[in-house]
Amino acid sequence: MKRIYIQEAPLDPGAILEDNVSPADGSDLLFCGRVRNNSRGRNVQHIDYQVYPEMAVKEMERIAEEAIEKWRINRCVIVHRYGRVMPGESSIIILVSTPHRDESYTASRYIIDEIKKRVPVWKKELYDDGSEWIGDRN
Amino acid sequence: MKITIKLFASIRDICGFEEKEMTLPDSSTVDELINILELEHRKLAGKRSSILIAVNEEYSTEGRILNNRDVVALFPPVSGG
Repeated sequence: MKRIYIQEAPLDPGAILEDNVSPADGSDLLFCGRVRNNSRGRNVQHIDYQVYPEMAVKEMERIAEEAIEKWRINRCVIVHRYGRVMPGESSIIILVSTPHRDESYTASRYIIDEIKKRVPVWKKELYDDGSEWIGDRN
Repeated sequence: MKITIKLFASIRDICGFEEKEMTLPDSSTVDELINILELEHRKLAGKRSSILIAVNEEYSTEGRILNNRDVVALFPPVSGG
């Protein structure tokens, strides 16, 4: 089972974790990326995520396919938020279910690393004293 | 030929639009398209070396020759997750 999508509403990790559970899998690994209230010494009020929807979903699908080819994954769910995300809220959830834990740890790490390199999403952090597009620091 | 251009994040801020249709000579490249944008938006020059390009939702390069109705997206390095 593979489900890849983006949404503006807050994410519900419990619902994602319990949807379509596979009794053949001994390992469900759920990664939640959260917005921090601080970044390089500045207070973060919120992050606005801008996304290129069609391409972002396509690229996340491709990354999931790559992971499914490399490891024995029975469930793969990737959900990325867009719009305004407040500190403490999740911006991304990755669920990987495999028969044994080693594969889910490796696959989950691969998926988040590739998303950060390739998926067309940009965050703009808003501070007490201004704002900044994050990719632009590089 | 006509193409659609889409801009994101800081590139959108510099150029002041999200999306528009442009008419270009046949067989124009992405490089030539960026040159045209740069004439109107000088600040783009400072971003030039880091701009990422997608044509029809797939990553591409400056040398890519465009076809009628292509959708070209220009954006800075991504920062999702």
